[in-house]
Amino acid sequence: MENLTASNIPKNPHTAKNYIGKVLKHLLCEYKNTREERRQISQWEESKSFSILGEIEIFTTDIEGCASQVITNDELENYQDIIKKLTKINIFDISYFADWYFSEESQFPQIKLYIEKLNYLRLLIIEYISLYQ
Amino acid sequence: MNPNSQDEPTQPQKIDPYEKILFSGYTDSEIAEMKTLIENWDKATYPTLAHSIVNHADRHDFSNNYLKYLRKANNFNKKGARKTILSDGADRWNKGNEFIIERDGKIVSYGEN
Repeated sequence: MENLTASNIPKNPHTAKNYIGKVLKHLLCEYKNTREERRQISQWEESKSFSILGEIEIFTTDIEGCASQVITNDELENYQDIIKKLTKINIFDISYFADWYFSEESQFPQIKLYIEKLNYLRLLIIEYISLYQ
Repeated sequence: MNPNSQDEPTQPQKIDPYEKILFSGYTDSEIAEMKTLIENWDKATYPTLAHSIVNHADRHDFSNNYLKYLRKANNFNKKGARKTILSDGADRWNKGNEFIIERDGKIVSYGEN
């Protein structure tokens, strides 16, 4: 996992944006590594009234979409909305997700690593916008 | 100032690079079909619909096969699918190996588990 320090974003805004792009690209590769675990979770959650995979998919969409906005635009018109959205969508605040994530720590290492990196990207974008917009 | 004046310099139309990626290599009739299918999608937090679809398709192993991706999402049969409501209110339908997520009747994502 990335080293979480007081500030994770490079000091130069251009470098910072490139860094966000790099993390985003890595996430795409990491997602491909989760296929087998996703299949196992899919079978496990068949009898459940919630979907862990669905929460991960929406979490991914929301964060990657915001990252794409940051990378594409030099000046974000809606930066306050993006910060608001990213602050709100903390996947660990979803009780059944947190129960699943923390109760079986030894299982699904690839998908848990993917979620951690995705959450790291969420925090990076918040920091980038706070510093440079 | 007349906005329709022929003398006024016109702003060059901003082309979405992801639209170029999405439609690259397809015939006019296929592009027309794609444009119709795209209307059923929600761009979510992405800058554009094309950007959202390209990213989702790439992640779900449909890189450079965007028409197939859009068709598969459109043809997802909800009959007999398991429905769950996600924490943000979106609906997720799962059938066999496939899933689709919709918000307010629009597709947010489609893929295989």
